[in-house]
Amino acid sequence: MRASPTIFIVPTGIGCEIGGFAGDALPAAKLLASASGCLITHPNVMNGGSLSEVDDNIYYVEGYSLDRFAKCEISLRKVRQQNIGIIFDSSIGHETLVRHLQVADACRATLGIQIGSYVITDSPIGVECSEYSSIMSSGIIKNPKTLIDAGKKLLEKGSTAIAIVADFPDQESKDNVELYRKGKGVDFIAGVEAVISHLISKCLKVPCAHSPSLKPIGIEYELDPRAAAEEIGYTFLPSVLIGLSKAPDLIEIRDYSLPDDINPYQVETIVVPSGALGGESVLAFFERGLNVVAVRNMSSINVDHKYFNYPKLLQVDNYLEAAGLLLSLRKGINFESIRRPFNSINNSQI
Amino acid sequence: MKLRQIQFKLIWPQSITLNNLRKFILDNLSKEGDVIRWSICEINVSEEDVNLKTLIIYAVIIK
Repeated sequence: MRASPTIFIVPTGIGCEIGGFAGDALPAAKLLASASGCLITHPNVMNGGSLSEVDDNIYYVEGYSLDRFAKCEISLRKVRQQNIGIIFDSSIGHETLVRHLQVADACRATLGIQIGSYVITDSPIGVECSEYSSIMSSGIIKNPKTLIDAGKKLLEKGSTAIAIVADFPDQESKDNVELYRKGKGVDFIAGVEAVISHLISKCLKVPCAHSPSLKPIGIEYELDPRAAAEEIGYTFLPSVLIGLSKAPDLIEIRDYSLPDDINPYQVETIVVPSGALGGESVLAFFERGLNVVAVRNMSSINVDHKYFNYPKLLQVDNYLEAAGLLLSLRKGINFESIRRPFNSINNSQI
Repeated sequence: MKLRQIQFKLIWPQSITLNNLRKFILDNLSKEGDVIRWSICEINVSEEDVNLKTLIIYAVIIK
């Protein structure tokens, strides 16, 4: 059965009930990938701290590049493996740096992932986390140039994908971190993580993903299981390296394409949380007249269907229903024929 | 190169359809700088006129 390439987005830092924690949308991604035969999604969906998976039907594309794909600016080319380079923030302490390098060695020795080199930034990246009106996490970095310069060094040495490890301020005393670990509120650091990886994607145009370097914090006895993947080990780097190892190359749409490339014009559907219709990929899908599947997935924002009069906006209650919808689209079965009430064509005269 | 967070309100004119909403937002946003990340994070509908919508945009830009 021919695949129906589908984009799956769970925006970072808006507290989604599914996907707002530590890679807890990954099971949904696997299901949607099975239904569509080809799913293009982003690190926030796939990265569960130390846990992740490689799935032949899932393409791992950083959010900024994913938006470019949705806007038909790039296509995606499958690779056997990427040659990953790692950027470390110069403000990471020595012991933490050694822990991260040991993760890199573990991924090389145990998983056969290619990690060619690493670089330490010339000066601290300077992460500053913030929130917008308590509904979404964000922030900036004080020294973007040092990050980009480090990335350029890796590319000059032959890296084809970039993992970034930035040092984050101490989280122990933050109320929002405590809430997050208990399954409430937004992931306070996720927004600025997206800013860091978007910056590398924008400036260097290669696959990339970010892993925060955090100081160890005390045990949380009321830990929400959706955040549990971040309690394993000393770093969050394994999932980033696993994801990047098979991340597709990003091919400018004007460049020569190969028959197996995933072209954005092949994509038929985007799946997003129902309150997150204000992102660039969704707006690009509105422009292009493609299917937008809005899944009920409670979050801190509420930009939903009532603001948009769009005939191909399909609302479903959960990802199980979304998978059925994708399968019906893929098989060419009119999903209206399966839903009730079922209206007569008598009502459809134009 | 400096990064800056901005939030601003944008009236969504009725003449702007869904087909060109993204371009309309980016045309306004790009006056502030080179855009790294953005989204519509709220939409307010006027109590007097339901067709009058205000977009609240949050963005991180290079300035």
